[in-house]
Amino acid sequence: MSGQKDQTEFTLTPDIVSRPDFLRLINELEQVDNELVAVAVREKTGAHDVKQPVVSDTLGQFLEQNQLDISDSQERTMLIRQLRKLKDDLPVIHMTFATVADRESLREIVSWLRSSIHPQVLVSIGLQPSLVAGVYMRTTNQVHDLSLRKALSDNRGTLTKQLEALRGEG
Amino acid sequence: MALFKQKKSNKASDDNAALFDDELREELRQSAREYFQKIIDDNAAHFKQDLDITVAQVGEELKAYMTKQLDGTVSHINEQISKQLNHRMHEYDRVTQDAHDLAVQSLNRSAHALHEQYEQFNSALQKSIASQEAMMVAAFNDNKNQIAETKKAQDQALQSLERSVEVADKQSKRLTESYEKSISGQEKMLTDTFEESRARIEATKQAQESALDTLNQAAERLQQQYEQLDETLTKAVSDHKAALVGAFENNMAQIIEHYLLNAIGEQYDMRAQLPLIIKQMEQNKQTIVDDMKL
Repeated sequence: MSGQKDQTEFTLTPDIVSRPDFLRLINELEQVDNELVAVAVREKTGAHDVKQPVVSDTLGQFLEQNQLDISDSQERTMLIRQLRKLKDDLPVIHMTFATVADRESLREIVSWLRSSIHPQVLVSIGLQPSLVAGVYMRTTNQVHDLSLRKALSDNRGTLTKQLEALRGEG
Repeated sequence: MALFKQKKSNKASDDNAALFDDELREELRQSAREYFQKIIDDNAAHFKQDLDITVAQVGEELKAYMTKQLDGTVSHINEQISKQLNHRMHEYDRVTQDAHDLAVQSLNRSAHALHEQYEQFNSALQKSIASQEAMMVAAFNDNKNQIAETKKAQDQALQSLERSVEVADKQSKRLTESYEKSISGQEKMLTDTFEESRARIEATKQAQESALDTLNQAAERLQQQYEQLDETLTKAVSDHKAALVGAFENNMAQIIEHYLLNAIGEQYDMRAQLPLIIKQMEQNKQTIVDDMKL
């Protein structure tokens, strides 16, 4: 590790979308820590065919993007502790979609949220087909119905006025 | 599909409402008003005609009844007078016959006595013609006196008969007076009855006129109530129509909205929605940021 970071300075990669993704990241990091400890013990015992642990793309991108080195045992332990603490402090936005959101779309949405709203925000995904299209967002204290159903409902008065106009012409 | 069925039904009711428009309702009201006025006029004419016929019939029946009663009374009085006259005449005949019989009997007795005396006188004359001539004259005188008495009795009987005739004349006069008085009383009673009947007919006529006035007033009130009801009904129909049109427009907006949701809902996948979502989030960006900072 080039230097110790404050937990608020960690940058989350676009693959880490929701809290389960972040928990999986912590679990994988703990597992890698355990395997590295085991490798170090085996190397001390004179074993020659010791295999280094394999990290996932998500963890690899996270370590690369934050310039972290997990070869040192103490730094790994510190990183795990910071991520566990960060887990409870990350802001979460609940987003309900009308259709199943694919991974790529979620990645784009999360990228926009982290660039525009908060750099460490996570998303809680929901599905509600009656929304037809758009999204229903719930932040800490507010809800934002950005669905097509809400837009049509808001414009129902316009439809009624158009019908009244047609009746007046008839 | 149910929504489209509802739509057809609404359209049908709308067509019906258009069919029964104001002009048709006004024509129906005018037709009903004329029909109702015609029925009232016909009934009033029939009622007046029946009333005239009834009054004329009552007058004729009353006249016939009075004539019949008068004829019956006159015939009854005539019958009574005739009966009494016949009875009196019968009594006069009987008295006359008795007097005549008495006179005849007296004459017979006198004749018989005279015959006996004549026989006695003949016998006595046979016995003594010359000496007893005076006695025969005296006896003749006596017989003559008796004959005069008999004649006097006959005169008295005749006078009694004349008095009886006078009494009968007086009784006839009294009966005539009584008959005239009875006729005048009957006439007065009939006149009173006629006046009373006429007063009743006048009262009945006034009551009928009052009933006609009441009927006309009731018809006017009914007409006013009908107009008020028509106005209220028209207003209620108009309000109901406006409410139906409002509900129809609202329902139609919901139908269109539902149709659009069903039509385009499955046309958008997440990739297609993504620019719109990001655009809307961009519009609400500041609100979201402010909420996240709290």
